[in-house]
Amino acid sequence: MQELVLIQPGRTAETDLQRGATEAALRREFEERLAECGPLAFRVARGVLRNTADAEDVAQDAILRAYRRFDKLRDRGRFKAWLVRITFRLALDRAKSFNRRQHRETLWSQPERKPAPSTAEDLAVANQFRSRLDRAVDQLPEKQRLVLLLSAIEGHSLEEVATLLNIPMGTVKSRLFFARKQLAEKLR
Amino acid sequence: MICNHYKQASLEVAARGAEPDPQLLAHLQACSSCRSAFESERSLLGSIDACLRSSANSEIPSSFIPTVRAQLQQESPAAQGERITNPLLWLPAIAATAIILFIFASQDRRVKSQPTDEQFATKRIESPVATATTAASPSQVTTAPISAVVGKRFASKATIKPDKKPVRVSGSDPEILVPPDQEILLARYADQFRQHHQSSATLLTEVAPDQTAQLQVPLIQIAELEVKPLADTQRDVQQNDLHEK
Repeated sequence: MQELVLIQPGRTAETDLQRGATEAALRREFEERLAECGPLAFRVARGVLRNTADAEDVAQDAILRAYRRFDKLRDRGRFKAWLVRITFRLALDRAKSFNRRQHRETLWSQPERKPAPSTAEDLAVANQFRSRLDRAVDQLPEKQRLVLLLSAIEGHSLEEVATLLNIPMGTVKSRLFFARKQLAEKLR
Repeated sequence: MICNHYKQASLEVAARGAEPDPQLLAHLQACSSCRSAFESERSLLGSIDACLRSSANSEIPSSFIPTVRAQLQQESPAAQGERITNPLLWLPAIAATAIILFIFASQDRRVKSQPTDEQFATKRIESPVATATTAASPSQVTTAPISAVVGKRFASKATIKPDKKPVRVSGSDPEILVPPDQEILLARYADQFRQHHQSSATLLTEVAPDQTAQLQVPLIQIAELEVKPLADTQRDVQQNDLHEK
């Protein structure tokens, strides 16, 4: 006797349609947020890495990671902070691996120090100041560094930084104060 | 001492980015040293902020967002679905699976087509001819045990691991070890041999005495006939008629 199996093809198609519609809506929502938050992710990465190409790579990676887990994000209003945190972590990891690689290469090759450009003294001073500032920023604790970076990006106010990082306003002020104080001490 | 206190306070105020309180402001207006330190600290922090802002607010490459959108397109579930439904990806896998299943099925069919020793043993027990043969003369039974020991699995086990006693036949059955490449042919030969001998065994079987008791048919009782000549008989009949009259 032939065995019969009960199936519901109409229900399967309906489920597929619902899933497709959900995914399309999710993607549309993400792309809307991407237009708003994409530049911020790039700038966070650029602030850490100080290299446009690396920052682009890291920001793209962070956005893709956020997209893959976007449906698991409960509070969509926290997307910006979430993306900033992902980008910052990825950029720090990239910077650390770059520093390690550079350190190895330096140990092997021992390159000569590049002389400062003598033609434009102001430019040399500015470059020197920038490099000193970069080193000082790199030595800051991560929390202070992120607050300093976000307050410098796009003219964020302290309140916006507090909202982005989901921390109290007093904490933002405190971290920013200690960061600026340390930078000034090292550059003074 | 007083200047040091105000100088420290002025640096902290500068780092905070706030305006000095009236007491500090009065001291800064009175003390040029503290005022210059405060101004230089504010200038330094201003430079730091400017440098950080210029570095952090660099121009975004025009290709950044389009590239990200293109990558999102590739990452979208729809694109993943297209990859899954692409026949170039899953057809080779299905073909390989089908070939493997076909090979396994053909091997399984070949093994099933060869009766094992247990099947032969069962046949031997269930067959009335074999039963009769066994009961009559056990020494004549030779075909079934031969088939039993050339079953594929037992033969291979007996060849590779003889210490595991793989053949489960009676102690009186002969055991034959054959090479793996000849076991199939030998099994077929033994099967045909057994089938051919079933008919001859039937004829050769001695029937047990209890099954072949002679029929006891009673003898027919026939009275003796008296034979008389026909002429005398007719005369007697006539005499009898006269007596009756």
